[in-house]
Amino acid sequence: MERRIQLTVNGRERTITTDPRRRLLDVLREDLGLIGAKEGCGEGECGACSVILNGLLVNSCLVPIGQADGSVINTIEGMANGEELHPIQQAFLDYGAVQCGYCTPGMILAADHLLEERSHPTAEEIKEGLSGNLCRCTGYQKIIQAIQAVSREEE
Amino acid sequence: MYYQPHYLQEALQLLHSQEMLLLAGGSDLYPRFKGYLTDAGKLLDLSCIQELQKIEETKEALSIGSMVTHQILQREKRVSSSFPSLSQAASLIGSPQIRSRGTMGGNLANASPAADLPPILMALEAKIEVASLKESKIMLLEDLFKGPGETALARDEIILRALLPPPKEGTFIIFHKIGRRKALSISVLNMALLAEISSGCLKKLRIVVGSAAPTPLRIHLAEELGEGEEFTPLLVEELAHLVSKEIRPIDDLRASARYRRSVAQELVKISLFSLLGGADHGEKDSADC
Repeated sequence: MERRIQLTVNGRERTITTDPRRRLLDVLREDLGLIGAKEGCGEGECGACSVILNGLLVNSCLVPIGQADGSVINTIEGMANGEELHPIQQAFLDYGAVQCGYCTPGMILAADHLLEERSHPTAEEIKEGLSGNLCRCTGYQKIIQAIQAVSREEE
Repeated sequence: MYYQPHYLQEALQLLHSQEMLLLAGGSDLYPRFKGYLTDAGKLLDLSCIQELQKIEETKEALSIGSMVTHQILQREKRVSSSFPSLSQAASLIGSPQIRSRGTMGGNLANASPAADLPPILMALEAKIEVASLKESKIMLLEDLFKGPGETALARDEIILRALLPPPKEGTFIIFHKIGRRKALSISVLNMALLAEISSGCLKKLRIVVGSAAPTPLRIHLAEELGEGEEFTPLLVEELAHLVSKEIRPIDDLRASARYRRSVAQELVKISLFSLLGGADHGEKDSADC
């Protein structure tokens, strides 16, 4: 059984017809070609599939597309402005906060969501804000430094 | 099949007529089906029913709709001002991503022995309203849990809301969670404790331990031992010892049963000793309880 689902993804309206039980992650990657969100664990533990859904940070592997009908979604593909990187993306490069890169889209969206709620988070608040995102390469310190740098720039 | 009713009556009607799995926030259901809810048979999605998302305050109780998420429990003023320990327990669940989707009703109906909300809600003496097409009824939350993943809910019943009576003056409520790490950890042990103390006497005591038995476990013997007694360090030691004896933990991949018993004992001590320091004990000499 299929249903018509309407989404606004990175500011663009999209309509798809699909099974409402499919995961938002699969619709983004397979139907819309947005492969920035990654599947890591597939059970909400790693955060590699994080996207922003109606202003909330979510694991797109745990969201049935039927529950996303009518929603506004931001993914990593919507962060840069043309060739110009988003300040968080630039800071991740500047501070070496990216190694293999698999966790990076989710990390950047979690960071963006955190800075949206709190423009000057403490190191502890950054850790809490990223607590749903695993990184197996960087040891997190450089990611925290990158986010602190963005928050300083905003002063 | 996938049904997404907007009205409770419609949901109850659907559930009455056929076997269906309830979908709340999805944070437990997707892992259970390895990401394929297409394998889950008929699904009844409760996410569009406004009535289940409401928080309402009356004189008798704070009513929390079953589809209220952990993030809302954590941040909503009407919850955190009257029941800060409930907000704290919600804040310790999963991660920001899980808390923005997972719901209170899902956490209860899933009936995990290690869930974080049942112990605190039971210590707060929560009741739940449960409805089927035929009737709605109010029951004590502690009567919901029957075993790991098993509840007293009939096939056609939905949890509508939890009802929390306002705490009496002189009541202290404490929640502790012990996990392998801070975020995304399933509790090795959790404990909620309610103590009403007046003039050095322990008037009322509720101790509920999670991840220590097939269901969240209220320690009745400890409550009977403590209530009406003078609140002293000796009593705290006795209560802590009794709780560690009464729980029925198992060895599993997260911890050994022995460790859980010793953690339970320490958590009772930490909780109650913190109250011995801060509570109003009235006269310095022994209280007349």
